[in-house]
Amino acid sequence: MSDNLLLTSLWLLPLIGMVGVLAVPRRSEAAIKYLALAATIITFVVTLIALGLYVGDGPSSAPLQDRVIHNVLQKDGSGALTIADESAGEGDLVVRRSWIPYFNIQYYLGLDGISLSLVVLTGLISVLACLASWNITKQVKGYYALFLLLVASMMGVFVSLDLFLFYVFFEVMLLPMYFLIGIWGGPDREYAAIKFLLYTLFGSVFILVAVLILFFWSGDTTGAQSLYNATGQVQPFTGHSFDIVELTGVATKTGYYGLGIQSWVFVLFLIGFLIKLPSFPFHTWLPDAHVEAPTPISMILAGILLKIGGYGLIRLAWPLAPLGAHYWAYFVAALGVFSILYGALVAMAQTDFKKLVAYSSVSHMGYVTLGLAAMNLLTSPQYYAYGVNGAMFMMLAHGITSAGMFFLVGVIYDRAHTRDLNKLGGLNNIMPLYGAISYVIFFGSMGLPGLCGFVAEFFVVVAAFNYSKLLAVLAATAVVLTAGYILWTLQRVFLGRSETWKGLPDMDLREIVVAVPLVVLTIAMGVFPNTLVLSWVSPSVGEMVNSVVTAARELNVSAIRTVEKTAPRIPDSISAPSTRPAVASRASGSL
Amino acid sequence: MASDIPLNWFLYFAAASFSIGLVGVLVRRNAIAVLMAIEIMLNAANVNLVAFWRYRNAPPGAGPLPGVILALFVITVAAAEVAVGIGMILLCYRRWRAADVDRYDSMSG
Amino acid sequence: MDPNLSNVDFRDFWQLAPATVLSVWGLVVLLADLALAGRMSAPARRRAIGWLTLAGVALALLAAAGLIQVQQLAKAETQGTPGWLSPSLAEYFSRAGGAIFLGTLSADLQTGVLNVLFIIMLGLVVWQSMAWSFTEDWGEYFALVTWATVGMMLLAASEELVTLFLTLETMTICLYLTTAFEKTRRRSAEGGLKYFVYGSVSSALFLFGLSLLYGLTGTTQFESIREVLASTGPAARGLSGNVTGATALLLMLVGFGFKIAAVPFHQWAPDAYEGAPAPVTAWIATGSKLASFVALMKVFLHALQPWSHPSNELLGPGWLGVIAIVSAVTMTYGNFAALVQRNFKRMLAYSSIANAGYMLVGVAAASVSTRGAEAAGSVLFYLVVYAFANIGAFAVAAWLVRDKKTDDIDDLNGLGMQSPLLAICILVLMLSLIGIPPFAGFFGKLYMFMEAINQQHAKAWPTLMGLVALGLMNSVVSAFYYVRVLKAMFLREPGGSRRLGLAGGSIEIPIVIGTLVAIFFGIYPGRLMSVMQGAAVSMLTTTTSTSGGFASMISAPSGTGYAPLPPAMASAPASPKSTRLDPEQAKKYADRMKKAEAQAKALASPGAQPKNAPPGEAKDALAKKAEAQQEDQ
Repeated sequence: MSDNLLLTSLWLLPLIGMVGVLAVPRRSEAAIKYLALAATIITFVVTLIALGLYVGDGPSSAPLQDRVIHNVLQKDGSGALTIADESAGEGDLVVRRSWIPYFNIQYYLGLDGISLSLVVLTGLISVLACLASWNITKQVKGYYALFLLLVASMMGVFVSLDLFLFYVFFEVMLLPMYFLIGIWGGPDREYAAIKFLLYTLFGSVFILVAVLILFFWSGDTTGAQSLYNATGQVQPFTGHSFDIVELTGVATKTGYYGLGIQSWVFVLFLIGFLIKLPSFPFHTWLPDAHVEAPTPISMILAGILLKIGGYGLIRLAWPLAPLGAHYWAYFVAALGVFSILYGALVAMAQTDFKKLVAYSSVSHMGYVTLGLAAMNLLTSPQYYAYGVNGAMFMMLAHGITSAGMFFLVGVIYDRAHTRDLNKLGGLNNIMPLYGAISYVIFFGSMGLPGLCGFVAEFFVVVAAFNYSKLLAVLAATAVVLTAGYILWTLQRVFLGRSETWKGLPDMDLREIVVAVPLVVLTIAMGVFPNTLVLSWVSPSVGEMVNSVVTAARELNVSAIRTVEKTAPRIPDSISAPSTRPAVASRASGSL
Repeated sequence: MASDIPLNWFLYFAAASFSIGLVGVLVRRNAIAVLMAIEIMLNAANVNLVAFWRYRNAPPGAGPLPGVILALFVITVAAAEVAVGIGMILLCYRRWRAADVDRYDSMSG
Repeated sequence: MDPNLSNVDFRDFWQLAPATVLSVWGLVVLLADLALAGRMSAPARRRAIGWLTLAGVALALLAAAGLIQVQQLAKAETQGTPGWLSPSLAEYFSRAGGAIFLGTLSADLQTGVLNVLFIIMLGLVVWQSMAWSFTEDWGEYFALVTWATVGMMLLAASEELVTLFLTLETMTICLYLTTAFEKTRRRSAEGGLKYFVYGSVSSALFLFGLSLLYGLTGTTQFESIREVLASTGPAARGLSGNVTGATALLLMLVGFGFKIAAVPFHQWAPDAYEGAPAPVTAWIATGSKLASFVALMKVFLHALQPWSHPSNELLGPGWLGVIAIVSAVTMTYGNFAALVQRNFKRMLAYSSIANAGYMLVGVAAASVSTRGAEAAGSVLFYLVVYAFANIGAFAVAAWLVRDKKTDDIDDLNGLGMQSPLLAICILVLMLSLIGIPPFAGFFGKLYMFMEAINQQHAKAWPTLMGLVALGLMNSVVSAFYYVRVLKAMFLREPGGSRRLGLAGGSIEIPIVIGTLVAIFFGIYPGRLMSVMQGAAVSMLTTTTSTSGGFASMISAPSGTGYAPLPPAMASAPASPKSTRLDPEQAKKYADRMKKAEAQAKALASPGAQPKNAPPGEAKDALAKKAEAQQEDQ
């Protein structure tokens, strides 16, 4: 399977599924459901094929920068960039075609550990969410069509390596989400939907402005060399590029984008993606959206959509503006810690089960921000790799557990028709299987050692401890708060005795099929974090860390100077830009 | 040309009548009066055009249509506008039984 | 001075074939209606006359496309002439297009492309008019719509102030009348009268400004106005130091401000839009706006370009600052006023005001640097995309009025369940108007804004960037009211006593075509971009002699990315001689122009000048002409 076919089918397959669903007559609902399920399953299989290629020893396991330079566009006679030359042959998981040559816009897709892990997560969660939507009865055809469109656009966001293409997919995502909440949501759905839409549109304007600044910035230094440009030749970089890999190289290795402009770009990206993540103070759309959204959409929203915010931070905000990120690091880290604490405290005060889970998402996403922002680059940068790995792991772990939690809330809501924690109770005796599954997933979210959440929180807190003791202590305190609200919730829902809910049926086969993969992953990712995830994710994370560290050390002269006064010793392990960064392997190897 | 009336006089006259027309449009409420005020404005511009044509030398490369031709055209355009305007006013008068522009207020916002 | 009429080349009439066909067809329609009046009922007559008009539109489209074809053929075969063309015509067409009728009109790529667009849009409007019987005087109605189109086509072709004024009046007088055509409702007459009063006052203001400009320069020809203005010293230019010039400039701005409905001259628009029958509203919002914007760009970016920012300060004396402020106010006001509207057409009216604000950003950008033609091309691109989306949107309004007798947004309730396919089309139109990818509205807006940022002018950059940021924020605001349409269609249950009936072809076709345009040019914008840039180059190039013909449209590469650009502002900083006077950049621009006119190059006479050439050249040319004149005397 060629790269073009493989990567394109990641987003095209759900779209074909959507067309298929639209073609089926409205009455045959079963056909629609199975067609949609088939589309998501095939997509998931394709993501697994991509994963197999990436993990294998083929050309696709090389770092992304080394792969993209083998996929270049050549100039034809008239000077237009049209002909693609995939000189590395097939199987390197990068594809590049010209789209709108006037603005250097490319159809440019590629996968590395960071994006691939999220692509696989998207594939998995969409299959499970598709199964979870079985009991949707209102306008089934429209629902599944929009659902598949949503999956297609999320896949597109993760595979894009062109900023313009990224933005297109990012915006397309809003629309199905708006309708899925607005039509199939709870009583206050219209308000929640429009709030979601306006917040996200507002955030995307910031992203667009940042992209435009990167595109049009004319350079702080002359003679900056582009290391990975579209034509494969080294030539002076003059801006006017949407190529994420090229821009990353320029931003981290040359002084083309100086501290001043990087600060702006970083802040703009940060606002845009923090809205999506969401982090305090941009989080207010999330509880509304979650409470109103139907269960499967909540699963997608918490499991994948929030991760797009985190992905944007890891892929764009930090690598494209490392100096700006370093400049704002403490502020962002503090924001992350505040989000963690705030989310946990507010979650504790909730009586609505779904709102509680929503606020727990705000809290957990705070770890992502903190892990990325704990940038102690100059004295002990190896710990920064812990932070980013932790953030990445948190996204995956939270993708699994939060999808699970929302699904479980949906299961009980279907039966009891309430989400009020004070009314629920004693479910452990009535629905024992449901109780067992819930315990695993909620404990996983809580960060119980041996389950997936723990690994992430541990990494992040370790990184934070080497960055700022105060923030680390506060973040560690939040672990207690998290344990508090989750245990209290479990107690209120499952323990005790209740006559009201007697006779509720336990989970049926379909629900078990949805829940079991999540339970298995929650445990497996906690027990074998390295084998399952970090072994192939952290090299890519390491590349990102390396480039940020290089940028901070070589470009941020003033910062170095202040550090040299206090701690003159800079470890050498970071400086060697080896193929597989030492930092990352050490981070993952230490487990 | 030197012994003629100075160009400025024409311009002052045109500016004055244009202002009168503009004030008329803004102040008068009767639709017919507004129409007349518009005519005054168009004619003020005509005076300008003819005066400039008479007094100013055309630069090289000037087009084939000097100001006086435009003035002639404006007269016809003004006639067309009056015809259309009167028709419109009659239409509104039949509906509202009033020629007062302030009365026509079925739409707002 | 005195025109030698024997110089008129009567073969020029061939270039006007589309306009001629349409104006004659208006008479045909009128006569046919007269003949049928007694024999047919009004609805039957509506269909008969409508089809007859469409036949004329098809004929005109054939003429316009044929003209392009003939031009190309004649140019391509430089050796021999095509057999079916008479030798004299073959010679005529093989000459590059450019000015016709002594330089009063242009017949080049820009007019060719715009003619085709106007005719296609006219077809959609006529089609849409056949949806329901809002009047009985069908002959008059269709004739007036057709003649308004003739006005638009010639307005977009005019190269000189007299023709500009006349064609502007032709267009608007026809539109005043058609606005008042809906006999059963009071608001139609009211909208017509308001449109008329505001419109004719603005015409009078414009004419007075025009007369002052004529007095200052002694000419009505755009190109020679430009030369005269450029040759006067910097101190005498612009708003300061020259009361007459400032008055002329402001009055003309006011005149155009009315036509394009820019704040604070927008008051007529909501009433006229709401009052007029939906197809007429569509024609006011699209055709009239497109033509007015083309005329505005010709006058301001061509004739008055030397007054844009004479002292190189954005907010100094010059019209650039004024346009920038008007643009900011227009888009903000339009969007916020649209938020509170209940009536669908009124909402679209305010959205059209806001869109005028966006487009003025492009106009402002086009004047500051040597990349003016690219920026103007992006405005044209946006105008086309906007126009097709709006024709579709007004077809929806026509549908509402036909079946529900009202056209509020709430009347769309439940449409998503009732006719899902059309609802999806309307959804696409609305998303395109918001500017959500992958639809053409998004790319058009972004393209315009990117060209605005890309103007390599150190002093203008912050302001333009600010305008762009404001525009993007405004797009978010606009999402709020467009989404209300979506909300009504998909999130609400159908209500009200009357139900929407089947749409029927006359409503479906404009909606579907608008949708297809929005999708196709959102994903493949490249071709339209290059055509519009070619059109903009010929729009902003002098046509006193010859200019790039149709051939350049086909071959002109739309630029190949940004490689050939100067390394930008850092290297071309705030030095006093900045862009417009920078000979190096001017040379680059001239090169670009040459490239765009590659095929017509051999035939181009040396008189053709790029618009933004340094004033020095213009001065030289002027001096030479003055010498020649002295010799004559």
